[in-house]
Amino acid sequence: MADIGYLALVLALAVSLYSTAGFLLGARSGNQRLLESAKGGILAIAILVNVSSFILIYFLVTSDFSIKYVFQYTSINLPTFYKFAAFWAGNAGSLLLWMWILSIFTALVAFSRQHRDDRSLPYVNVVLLINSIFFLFLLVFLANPFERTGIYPVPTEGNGLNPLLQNPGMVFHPVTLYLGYVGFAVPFAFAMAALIVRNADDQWIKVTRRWSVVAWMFLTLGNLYGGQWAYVELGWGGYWGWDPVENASFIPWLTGTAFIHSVMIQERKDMLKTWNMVLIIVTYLLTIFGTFLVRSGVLTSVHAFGNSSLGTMFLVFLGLMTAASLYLMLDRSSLLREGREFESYISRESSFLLNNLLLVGSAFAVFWGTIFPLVSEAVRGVKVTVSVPFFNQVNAPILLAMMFVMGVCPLIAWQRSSLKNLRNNFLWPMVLAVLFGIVLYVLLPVKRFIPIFALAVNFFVLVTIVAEFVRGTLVRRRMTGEGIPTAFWRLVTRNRRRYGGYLVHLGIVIMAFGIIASHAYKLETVRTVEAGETITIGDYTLGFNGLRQRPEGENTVVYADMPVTKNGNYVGNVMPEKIFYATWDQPSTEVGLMGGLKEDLYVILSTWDKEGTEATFKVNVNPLVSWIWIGGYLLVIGTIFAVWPGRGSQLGPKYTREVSHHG
Amino acid sequence: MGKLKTWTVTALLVLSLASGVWAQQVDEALFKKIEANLMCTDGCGMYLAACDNTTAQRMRQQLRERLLAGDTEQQIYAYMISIYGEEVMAAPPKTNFLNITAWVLPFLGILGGGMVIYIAVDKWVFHRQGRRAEKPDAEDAAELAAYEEILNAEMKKYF
Amino acid sequence: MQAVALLLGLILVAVTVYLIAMPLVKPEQETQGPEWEVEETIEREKESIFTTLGEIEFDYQMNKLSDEDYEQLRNQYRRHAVEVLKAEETVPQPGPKQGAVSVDLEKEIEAEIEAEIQRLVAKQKGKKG
Repeated sequence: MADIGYLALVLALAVSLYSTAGFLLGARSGNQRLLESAKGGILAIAILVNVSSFILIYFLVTSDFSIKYVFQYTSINLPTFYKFAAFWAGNAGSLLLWMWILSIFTALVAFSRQHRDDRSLPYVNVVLLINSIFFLFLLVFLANPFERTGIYPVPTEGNGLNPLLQNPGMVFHPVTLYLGYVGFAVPFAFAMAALIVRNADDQWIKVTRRWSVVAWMFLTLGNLYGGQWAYVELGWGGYWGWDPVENASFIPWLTGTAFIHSVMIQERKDMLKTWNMVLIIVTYLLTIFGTFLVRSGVLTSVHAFGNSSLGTMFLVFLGLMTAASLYLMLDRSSLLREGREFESYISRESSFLLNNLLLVGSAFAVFWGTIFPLVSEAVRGVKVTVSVPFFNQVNAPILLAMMFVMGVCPLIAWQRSSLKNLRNNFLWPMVLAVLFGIVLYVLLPVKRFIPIFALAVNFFVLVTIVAEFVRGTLVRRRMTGEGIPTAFWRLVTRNRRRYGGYLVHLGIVIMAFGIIASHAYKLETVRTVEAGETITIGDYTLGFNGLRQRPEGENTVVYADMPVTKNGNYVGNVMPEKIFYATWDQPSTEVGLMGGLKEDLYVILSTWDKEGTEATFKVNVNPLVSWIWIGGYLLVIGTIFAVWPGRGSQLGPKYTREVSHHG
Repeated sequence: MGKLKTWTVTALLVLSLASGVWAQQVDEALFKKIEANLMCTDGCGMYLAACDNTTAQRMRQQLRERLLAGDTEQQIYAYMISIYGEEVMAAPPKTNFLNITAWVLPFLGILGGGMVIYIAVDKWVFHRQGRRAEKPDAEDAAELAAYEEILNAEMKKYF
Repeated sequence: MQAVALLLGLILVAVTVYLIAMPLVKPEQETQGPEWEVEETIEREKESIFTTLGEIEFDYQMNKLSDEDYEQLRNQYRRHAVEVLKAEETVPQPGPKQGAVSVDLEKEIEAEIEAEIQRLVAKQKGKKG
């Protein structure tokens, strides 16, 4: 059976090569049969890779330890859910997951009716197939997931899955992240194909709008799941550690965000053509680079990289794709001549430019910080570390400015903004935000200027978004004479793209509240207590009555059952745990979490002594953390609302002074 | 069944914590601030404040000792660097040119990008001036007025 | 087990070969170009223009267009809309030879718009010079 899985991959590689050639030759000679055959090849690849993936799942779930991958990452008693999730616990499986998604996406693109008459389609397929060839090459020659252990007799137990990965967050994180990563390959492919066939218009942007936005949504979700996992599983009280691995997925998120915004300027104004090309190329390359960072081991140790042919292959591929896309862009630069339509310095258009500048600047800051240790080692020969303080200090001002632009951008006038426009749209949000800041200053116990300023900026954005909905409804009512509920309903459903976008903004604002508050106002204490003593933090008092122990399958769980009172009222129990595994050396930490809308009580059992009658706990009160997840859900809802096909999801009209032709 | 007996990273350490050092107070805010600027040094790659392994415990212990000995924040950083190298700092210390670049470059980049945008917009705005379209002439206006009603009605249909 | 694996392998190869080879030997299908019906073309044009007009109106009322820009854009698109309405009036009733008519009509509209542009440009040049 393992041979079949491997055979499927080999066959898929061969077909990828065939189809690439088929599309290239077919498109050049206009041979319809050849094109159809190559297209059939894409379907064949999808089928083959699916079969291969399901075979791996079958091995994982049935615990066939003759397969090295299964042996390395699972054990007999692992819950089936995690046996399945072990699919992407290692390199080979992760690459297969990537390929799995890519093969399905490629088939969706190739067989979509929407693109049937797109003459660049063969080249789109070629670009996607080149990615397939690369990943299949890795799977076939360097990271075969179906490799056998070669141990006889077949082992009866595997190494087991790293307990840290045994968490729902870690199950969804890689899948959503890869859906986002691979999703961005599609607009990239269309962009390259447009250059190849010398299509100068914004066709590639229009047809890939949904792909880009949905890929962006998955990338966001991937980052969020990663954060959620870190929060409940790593047990240090935070959700984002600016780890290189996290950065690797955050950087393309930033450039991807810039991309989905700046294309709107091209859609409306035929501007920024070159810039949009650059953004999609960079975003795509960063998704590959991110995978490279995580999969090659270059970050954990430079030496590990030296031995990893996987890393080298990634670098070679990155280099080739960079060279090819840059060559295409420069060679066709005459196609990307800009329509020049700028009316003034302060306008919607210029605020888009500012938003792009800040997003890309932030992406650069994160990228620079991530690679700086390597730079330092190369230049000075001294190892340095770039971690949380650096990223927080550098990115906080940039991203705060970004939030501000997010409030301004949707409200500012197109073409030219007058003083009147600025006053009408921004006076009240400004006033309310200042008031909000003052109220916070009076109410909050910790009177620090910066977080209050940040929260006030955030509140400003919130007000502008709400104002958009309110004023939009009123204007619609005035224009059509509809009642308020009808006007509101039609307003949002007939312009789903726009108001879905605002919902996404709202989600981001809610997340930002959570991020700012949980950074600036968290309480933290480390206490060693004996049975019978209590720990007090903020409004909470936790009782400690000694540790207990219970078996959980083959594992042993040590836990404290701690009654919690808040302002004297009993509110429930928290149960921080340490889990000792039969198949793993390090115990893992299970956070005792009592979550609420206002704050999370977050308890970690650290160490203990004297038969468990004395223990050390780390206790945090993290304000508004749940807002981050709520914002994330809102973001997903907003995205789906915006891109769901049908009336209202289309693009807004072009505003241009030239007489434009629609259709 | 011995899991409950002790789970300390080093029993000794906790003893010393409990008996001696812990008893005396250090400035907790300063302690946290310093802790937040350091890394755990055993290769776990974790931020000291986030790490809970043996090395991290020992480093915190050292921190407290230095604080009790009356060292200032800067002295403690220097001390830590003298033991563990520059790597111990969670962000590159701004003591040499290259490290300062790490901090400054992102902002320089944004500044530079801003300049480019400003120049481009300046050019575009200049380009547009004098190309402002004209008001419709009388003939046009009359024709539009004739269609006014229909236009408004049609617009509502699609709005 | 072996037999199942062998069978699966054979099926995989067979499916792959079928998918690739089939289009090569199948008689070529006639590819149909997109054929818009005449009303459809105009209807799309109309929808686009009136949506834009509504959008301009809406943006203006939302304070997102300056007075001057609003006037200018509105007039421009209204003129455009009038042309489309006129074109709609001249559309013949649906008949058997739609395809040919549609192409003609499309061209006609294009030409009309082109003329309009020329006129505007000429006017501007005149004013400038």
